[in-house]
Amino acid sequence: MNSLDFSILLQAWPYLWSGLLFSLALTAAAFVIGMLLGTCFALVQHFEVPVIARIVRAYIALIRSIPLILVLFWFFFLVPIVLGHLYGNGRPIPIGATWTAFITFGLFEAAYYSEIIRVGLRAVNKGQFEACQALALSTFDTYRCVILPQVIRVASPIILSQTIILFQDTSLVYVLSLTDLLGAASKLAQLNGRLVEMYLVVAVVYLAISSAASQCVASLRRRYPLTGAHK
Amino acid sequence: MFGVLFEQTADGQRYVDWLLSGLGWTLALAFFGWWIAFAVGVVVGIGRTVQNRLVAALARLYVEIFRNIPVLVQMFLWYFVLPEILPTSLGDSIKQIPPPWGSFFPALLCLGLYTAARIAEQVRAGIEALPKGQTEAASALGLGGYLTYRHIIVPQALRLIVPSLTSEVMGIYKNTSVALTIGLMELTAQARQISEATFQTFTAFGAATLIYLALALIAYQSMMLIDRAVRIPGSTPAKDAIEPALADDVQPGAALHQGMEVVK
Amino acid sequence: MQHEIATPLADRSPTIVVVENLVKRFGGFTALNDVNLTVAKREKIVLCGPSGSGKSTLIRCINHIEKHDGGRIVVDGVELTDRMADINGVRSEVGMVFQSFNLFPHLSVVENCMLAPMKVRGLSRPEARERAMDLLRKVRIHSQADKYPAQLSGGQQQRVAIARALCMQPKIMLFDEPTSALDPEMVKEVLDTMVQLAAEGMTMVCVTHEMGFAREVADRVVFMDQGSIVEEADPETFFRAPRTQRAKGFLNQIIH
Repeated sequence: MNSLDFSILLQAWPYLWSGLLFSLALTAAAFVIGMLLGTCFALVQHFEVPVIARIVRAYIALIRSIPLILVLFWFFFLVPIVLGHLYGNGRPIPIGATWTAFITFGLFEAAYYSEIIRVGLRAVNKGQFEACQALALSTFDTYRCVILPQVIRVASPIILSQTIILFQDTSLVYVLSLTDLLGAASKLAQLNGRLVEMYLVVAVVYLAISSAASQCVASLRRRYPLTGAHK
Repeated sequence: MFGVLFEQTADGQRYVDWLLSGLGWTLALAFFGWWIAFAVGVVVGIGRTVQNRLVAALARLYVEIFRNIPVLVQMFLWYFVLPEILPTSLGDSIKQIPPPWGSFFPALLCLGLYTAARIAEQVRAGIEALPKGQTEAASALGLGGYLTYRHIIVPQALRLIVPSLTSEVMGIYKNTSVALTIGLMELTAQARQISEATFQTFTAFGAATLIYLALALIAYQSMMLIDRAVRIPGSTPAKDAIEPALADDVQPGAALHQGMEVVK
Repeated sequence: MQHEIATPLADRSPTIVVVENLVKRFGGFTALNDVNLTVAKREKIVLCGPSGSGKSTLIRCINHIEKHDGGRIVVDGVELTDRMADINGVRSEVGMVFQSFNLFPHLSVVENCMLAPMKVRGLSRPEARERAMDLLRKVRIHSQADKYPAQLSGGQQQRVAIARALCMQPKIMLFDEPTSALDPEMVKEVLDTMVQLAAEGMTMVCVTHEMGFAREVADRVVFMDQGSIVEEADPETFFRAPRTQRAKGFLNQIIH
């Protein structure tokens, strides 16, 4: 066993840091796209929009049944083709692994967030809808001002837990050879041969960030128990 | 469109044989990994609820570590890092394990122990969801701590969490694909290899997707059967068997409402 | 305070709600069977009857929370059809108070009262806040304006719900068993608020079993059973000498 040498970290840190920033940016983008799209998916199902609701349901069932790595491969292959058909001549438009990753994670997470929101919508008391009707609020205002804020509030611990899982899952862009935190570490490890130190450091960084975030979620959960939103 | 799968490959097999061999590795990982995960998960989950501070703290540490490091990073730790930090002779003999097994065993340990942390949280939530009266009644009958857990708490908690374990089963078979990063030729890896050999990407990934869908369906159906088989007569079924942890989290007052996480 | 029942002098039409031959079914069950009811301006009506008699369904039809299957409902000259414009037009003139309050848990008390005036009536935030504070003062809960519903007692929550409905300056108020979900010691504060509202001339239709309230406030008691109106009378007559056997039986049950 070689002795561990963490001094290598001093040199490696800037590169790892840029990798970490990429992981965080990917997480943030996937969160935003996923929540927006996921909310739309949930509402489409909630309103039972003909045809579209069935398509959305099939999409969600499909995405939830296959591994994320396979989804990444699919999108890596499909996105340029689809873009080619959308913009003119039908020839595939290569957009690179980075964009593929952003699109894939956004669309993939939408399936998971939409399930959370769908269940949340179902859990809203019928009386809330009736009170909105009695006050003559339009359907749009009913959902925007009354229903969705409650759903987001009640579901926020689960949404946040899901986002922590998302952050961990972004490491899978390794298979697209992108330079996220893990990708950066693995590239450095190949250069300097200090693979043990590199992977241990990465593990510790992920552990620290994820556990800190989990602790925040747990304390949020304690502060706002699920029953009354404001006890 | 799947015709290409039955063409001859360079090594004299058909591409469909590659897929089937990939499926075999995927199933083997998922199946054996599941039993490791279940055994370790139940023990750790119980550990989180016992009075003994040290045991509870160790169980919590286990869950924190294994749940908060991405499964891919854990895969690398088992495959690349473990042999290096073990004593040289042991590490070298690990590195000598011949190809498929040299990837398979680290992947198996990784998936088993990772999923165990998730199962442990479900088990803990199941135990904590039981009414206090159950423990009190057991001690009133003179059952000690061990007997109470063995005969009263654990049997009820496990029944309660069967629906939530569905998503763990789905999770572990999906995570098997992560093993391709350490060179195990499981289903997704074979699909990619076929796509690279034939340029029939759509066919290759399509076939793999259909197989994963079938596995999901089988996993889901068998968990439903298990749930029905072990449910205590007269108790109500969970409303949303596919993601009950989620449903219960959102619906206040449902049986298992706290401490459950959404799982992929 | 001018915000309640602003009845313009020109508007002399004596009725505000007309219900004709109303039919409502839930699947095979007929909840309302050929119900006729007219509510005059400033009139206070108490609807009573055993559970399942259709009284709640009736008032829920009046602001179209339940869609009726037959007959006609005209509120303030507008007939309720499937047209959303008509429905929302009627709803904004009809205030409703629910048994379970149905306050919005994520909004503070004053925000609960401000939401609909801003979104439906187009009031500015300061205007809506001023109106909300006026009405919260009227139900004597203005000191709690910035608290959240879950921090209030049931009686307080129901008074906020009344204020929330009043903020739309409705021409008529519907009460659906407003005190049934309350602990006994909180019933009075809600009833007092309703009595005060009645004294100011608000048109009210109340589903309630509070017979003291009915005696004190109601112009008319309407007794329903099995989806039909069985008996209508002024409260004095109804309580002293109910005409029908069913009303007698009902009164016997609730007085004990």
